Amino acid sequence: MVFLNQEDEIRKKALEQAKEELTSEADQEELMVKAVKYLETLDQEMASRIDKYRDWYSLHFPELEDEILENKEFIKILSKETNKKQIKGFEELAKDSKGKQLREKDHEILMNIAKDIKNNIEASEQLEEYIGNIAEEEMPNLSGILGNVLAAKIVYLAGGLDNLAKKPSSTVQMLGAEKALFRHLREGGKPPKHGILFEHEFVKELPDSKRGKMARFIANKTVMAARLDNFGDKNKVDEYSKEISEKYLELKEE
Amino acid sequence: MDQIQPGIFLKGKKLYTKNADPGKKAYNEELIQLNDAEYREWNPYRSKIAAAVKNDIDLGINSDDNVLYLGASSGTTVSHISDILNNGYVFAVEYSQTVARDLVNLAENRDNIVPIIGDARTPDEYSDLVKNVDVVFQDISQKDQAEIFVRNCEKYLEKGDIALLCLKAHSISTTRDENKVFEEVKKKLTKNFELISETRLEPYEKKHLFLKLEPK
Repeated sequence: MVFLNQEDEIRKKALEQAKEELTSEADQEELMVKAVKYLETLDQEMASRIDKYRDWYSLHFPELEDEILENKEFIKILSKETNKKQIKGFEELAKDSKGKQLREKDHEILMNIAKDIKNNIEASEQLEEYIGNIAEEEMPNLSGILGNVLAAKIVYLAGGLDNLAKKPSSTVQMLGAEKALFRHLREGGKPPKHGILFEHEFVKELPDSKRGKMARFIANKTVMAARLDNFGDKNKVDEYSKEISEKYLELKEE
Repeated sequence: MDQIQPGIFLKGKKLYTKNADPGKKAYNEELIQLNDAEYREWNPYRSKIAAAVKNDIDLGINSDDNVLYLGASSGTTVSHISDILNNGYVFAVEYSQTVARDLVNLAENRDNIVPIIGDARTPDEYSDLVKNVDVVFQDISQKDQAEIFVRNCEKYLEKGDIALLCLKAHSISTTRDENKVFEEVKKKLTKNFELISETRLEPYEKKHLFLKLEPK
């Protein structure tokens, strides 16, 4: 029976430890990853909603839809007024409009939806700021060279900073391009040059033929920065950033 | 109601264990009353041990054994092991905190479950919470599931004890033929274990192999 008592003691201890672990303060990185997941869904959803909304609204005022390509700006205008005769600053455009007339109730619903989308855009911006702040705090090297939000996204794709730090840079270069990569491996086709790293300004701004080189270079530095953030405590942001911008200028002038 | 193995009952085609926490369900299983006792249905589609029992594996778990259960998840199967062990303990190890929440709730109501939130890859991590193990069971869907199993059995089992392993071919390779994967793992395990019996878990689970082993 002494036997059973010993295990009873252990059980009490284990139960306590487990409860303590479950109720301890949430890990900032974990919170960040959840927020990134939510942000991604929110942004995708928003893009397709705005798409439908543009199509809907262009019945009334197609000229505005053509004129304002920037989604945020478009929604901002319509959240105040949808009737083309009363939208400020576009009187000229409205005069020659070939769009149909709408009733009061049609305008009402269109404006309410624009307001709702506008709120969502604000939520998305808030979320980005929240994510960025955590990234800056928890991974200074990584967010220093990639920018806060991109750093957070790449950590999410890698399954945590710890995992990112252990990955080879060739894998990191492809993160976010899994679909294209496996299509390449399975069916031939061109291999992808970049995944989420495309969002880095230096990759995006280069011509197509040089993006692969740039993405590869940034992936190298990304992994090195992740390793510093995860295992070390040095800050080499200035050094890496300088190397990255030198590479960018070199590629640009080539 | 026939007792087909210690603590495991068969009525018709359904498996049952005697509810150690009467009146309460652990998940949404069916409860039945019979001869002043309450039994909980044990669904082989939800529990791989139940599937193995349905496929004629004699588990060899006695009611006074201590069981180390790796990959406890939310505790669906653990609750039935807890029913079977009316004089023993189940040490339930789970890595994910999200599902461990249910496990801890279960352990609060059942005084023979020792919940451990830890990584089965490093058995030393929970050595202070695990004592006198007679049976190791593992159901972990990871690529290195066999290595995890060997490491734990080496640490916690002795000759004559029982090691039960549920292998999921899909976690090891998604493209290779499952029979080849199983053969390879079995070959690896023969260094440390004697194979006592084995079964596939069809129709309850696809591409799963259940092994009963004894450490050498």
